[in-house]
Amino acid sequence: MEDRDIIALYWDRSETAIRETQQKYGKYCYVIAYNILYSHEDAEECVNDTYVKAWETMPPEKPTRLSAYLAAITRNIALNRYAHNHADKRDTHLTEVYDEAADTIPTPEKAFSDELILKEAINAFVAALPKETRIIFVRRYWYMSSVKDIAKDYGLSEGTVKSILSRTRKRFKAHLEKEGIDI
Amino acid sequence: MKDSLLMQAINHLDDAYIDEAHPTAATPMKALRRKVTVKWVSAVSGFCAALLLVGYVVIPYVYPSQVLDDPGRDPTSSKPPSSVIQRPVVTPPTYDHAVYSAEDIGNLFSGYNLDSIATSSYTKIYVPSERYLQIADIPEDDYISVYERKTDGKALNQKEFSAFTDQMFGSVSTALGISRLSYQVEREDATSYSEASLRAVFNADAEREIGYFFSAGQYGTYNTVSFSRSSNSSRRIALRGVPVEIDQTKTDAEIMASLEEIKNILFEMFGTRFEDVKIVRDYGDYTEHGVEFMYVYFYNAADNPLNAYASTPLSDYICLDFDNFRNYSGDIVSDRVLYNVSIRYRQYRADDVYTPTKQVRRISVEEAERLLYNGYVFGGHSCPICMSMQSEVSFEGYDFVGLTYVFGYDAQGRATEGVPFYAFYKKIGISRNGNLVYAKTYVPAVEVKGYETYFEAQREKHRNQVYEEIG
Repeated sequence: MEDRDIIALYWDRSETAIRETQQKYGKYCYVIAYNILYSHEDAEECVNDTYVKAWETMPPEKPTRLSAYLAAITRNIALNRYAHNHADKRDTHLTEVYDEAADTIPTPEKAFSDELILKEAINAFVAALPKETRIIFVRRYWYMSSVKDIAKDYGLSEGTVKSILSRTRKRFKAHLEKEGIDI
Repeated sequence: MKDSLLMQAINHLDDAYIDEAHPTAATPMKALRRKVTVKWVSAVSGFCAALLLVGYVVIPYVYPSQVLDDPGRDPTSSKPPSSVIQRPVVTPPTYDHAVYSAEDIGNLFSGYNLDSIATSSYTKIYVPSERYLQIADIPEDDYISVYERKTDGKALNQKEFSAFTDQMFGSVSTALGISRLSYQVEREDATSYSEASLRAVFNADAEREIGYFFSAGQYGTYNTVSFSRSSNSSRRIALRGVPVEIDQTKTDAEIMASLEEIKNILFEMFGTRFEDVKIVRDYGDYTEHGVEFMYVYFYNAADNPLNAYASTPLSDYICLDFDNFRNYSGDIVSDRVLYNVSIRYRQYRADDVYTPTKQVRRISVEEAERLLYNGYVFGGHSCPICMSMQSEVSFEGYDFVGLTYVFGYDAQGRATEGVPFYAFYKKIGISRNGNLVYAKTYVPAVEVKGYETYFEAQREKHRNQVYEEIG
């Protein structure tokens, strides 16, 4: 079923929408959740919660890309569950992602509150990246994929991936400074 | 965990970049760099085609797939079978002058990722009885139609839509014994991902007050109207005092008989009549419970030749959409009588939505078997995680084979060409709640050239790659 039809089902309040979402995007969301949670059961629950959230938010939402909309919901739910599961733990695989991001580009002492500026900055930045670099960057910091998985998936060495990520973080830092975002 | 501007900013990433980088859309970059730019764009511009394969099969029956609950297999195991479909030694047929190439067929399953469309896996189907597999007969004709969807339909017409909506909700309100709600018509312009539509917007507070949710819309190809109990209402729907409910434990014939009075009310209410009834039972991804959704369609099978192969009719229909699903898979409401129903009527505005565009030779089932046994199958999972959790299955001595149609989609998500396939079913076990479990996989029912070359090129995608064990 086409996405517009699935969205129409949500708007029609037909619960077929959930079935169709499950069929078309169930595994797609599962991979996102599993990537973050590394647990089959947690990932499954997270995906089920994604359907509930989609049901609750459409209408009024009418996403232009259903896949990315569901992906964002899944990621948020998975990150929340991850935080809950690891509230008292350090040295998890996500800690590594956050730490490496923060080592280059820390959050200013005063929280950066203008989300719109931040949104424009990140999207302008990734748009200007070579496609391969962009994909690796997004895989690491949006999907939270491990360096090992990224290297394997794209036929690159781990060293190459780390090097690309390091250079890209530095470029992002420079981009933020150029945009006048105080770091 | 340390927060950073990067992690804060990445939450605002545009959808296109998220789609582009989905893990299962990954293709080795060195290989891609050697190819022309177009290939690169094709391969990575979309999202996880691999995971969507089943979703792209729009015409086959809609029983759920399941590969994630194989009890003896750890999802993080690094020791999957090398191929989940066993391959006896047979020579595959070759069709050097075929209209379609294996790549064309693969593209049907994905408008996005050319490297993830064939598969060596299968889809699991759960049914209480083999009769619910609803396998469509294979035609005897030597030639078979390929279809194309005409997506344009007619121009939106507010006058026509308002007349339709007024008529439908007038009779619906009478049948429900409520006052008719007023509505406003809103136009939504086309986007790259959705076509233009008109929608009837009702007052949400008024809907809550009377306990119903109404919807009506017009697209280029159809008008639609639906209603259900609103989520804040625990009351059941009754039409002219007759409750709309079905007992899932009954046979289809018993259910149809029990709905006779409701059927006549619906026909009168929507000002139409249909000759045929179809009941579709949808079991969830897990097998510890009964049906999750049941659909009763009133339609005319003869109105569209593809109706023989479709779970949802591709011509006018009324659907009783029973929901047995509370919040998540397995959280069912009842193991017997279902009453939470959404009632929909779809009226097509265009007759030529799906049009036969060419006739091609239908290969015999015996030829298709030889392709099957060589692993030349499509439409199953090719997600490494999903595939890694499948047990090996031999389709030799398969239980059933039927015909189905698969429609491809372009990058904008619009249906393109519909090609006939054979769907093979092999019983592989019985679930804990007694449902029969079948493995299902697809082989094109038409001549296709270049299987060997194409599948060899796809090989790395079909070796059930797994994520390495997490230590």
